[in-house]
Amino acid sequence: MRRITAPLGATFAVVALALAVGCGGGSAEDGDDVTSDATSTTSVARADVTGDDAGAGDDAPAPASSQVARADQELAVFAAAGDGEPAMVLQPATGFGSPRALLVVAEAADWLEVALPVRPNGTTGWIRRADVELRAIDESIVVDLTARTLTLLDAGAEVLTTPVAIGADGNPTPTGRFYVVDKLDTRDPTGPYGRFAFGLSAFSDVLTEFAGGDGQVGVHGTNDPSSIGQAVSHGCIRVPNEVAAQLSATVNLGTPVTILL
Amino acid sequence: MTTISYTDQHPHRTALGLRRVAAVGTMLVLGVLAPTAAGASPADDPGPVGPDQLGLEQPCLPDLCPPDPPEPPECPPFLATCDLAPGGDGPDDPEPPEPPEPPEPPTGEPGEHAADDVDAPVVATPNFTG
Repeated sequence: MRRITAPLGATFAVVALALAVGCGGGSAEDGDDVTSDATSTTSVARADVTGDDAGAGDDAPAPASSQVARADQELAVFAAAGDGEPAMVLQPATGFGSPRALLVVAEAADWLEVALPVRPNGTTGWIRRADVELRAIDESIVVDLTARTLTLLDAGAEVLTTPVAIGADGNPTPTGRFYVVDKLDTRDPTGPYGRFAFGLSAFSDVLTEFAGGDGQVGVHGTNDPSSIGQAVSHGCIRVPNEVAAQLSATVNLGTPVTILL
Repeated sequence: MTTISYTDQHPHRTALGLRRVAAVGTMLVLGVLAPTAAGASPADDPGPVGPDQLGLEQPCLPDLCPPDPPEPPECPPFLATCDLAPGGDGPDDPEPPEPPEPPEPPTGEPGEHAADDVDAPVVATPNFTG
């Protein structure tokens, strides 16, 4: 199959470095022979997340509404609109069993450019519009690593802001524009992830394997409330458990998550 | 010659006759004087008994009829005992009762009962970077 290069999306104005991140574990999503042309996003400044789909700069970094493509069967992903040969095939569910949802970042006739939940961060691909169901999403999340806060917005209006724990210096939380890929109920409110956890389309730039996973970054609760507000995690974003519960009641798959430095 | 006197011949008759005359005279006197003696006078005579006093209706002239009794007050709205003729002009139909309030959302842990249009979480153990 052809290879999908990343990051390419014009609306994903990321700073690409010619440093590929090792992906020893590989993504549960890629399962196919998807590789990168060795571009990886290691740092995204605020001004970088200002594409048309990303909002309007510092004052409004989150979009008022987003389009999410939902697929309930295997989904062919192409390197470019109009290609005849798919570059990869996504399963209708993630490795955790979440329904497949992809954030749309651009459209071209009967094609949609979507952000892919694969390494390296910022990878996009093209899918046929006829292969998916489009849904509009008004919710969005903005994480400010400097302020160590997470803000939930609805149609651009702030719903809540909470302090969070972020990645430690040795395992920084990646920056960029991502989205919710998994919504999980751990059924274990006393565990390290709390009761509710959200897997993002982001991956650690340092860890390629963690606890049996592939270094997928998440937003989740915690069993260590004292860590909130600290830079102590392995890259994930920890929120108070009550906030995680509120997010679970509000956030849909595909909800954009913009992580600002 | 024998002389027979009335007295002699019917002495008991004479006494009886006198008593009768006295009794009749007394009755006559009492009959005339008794009402006056009791304080009555002719002006107190109630006169003849009329039909109205006998419980009979008697038509009257319009000018002399008593005014019609006032109309009874209208029944207050929604008075259950107000008996109105079917189809008549009664009080407006009462407003239909307001629909009951929607049931309160479940009070369980937030997120456990997400709205229908929100994706439900999948029960799984994550292995994110933590």
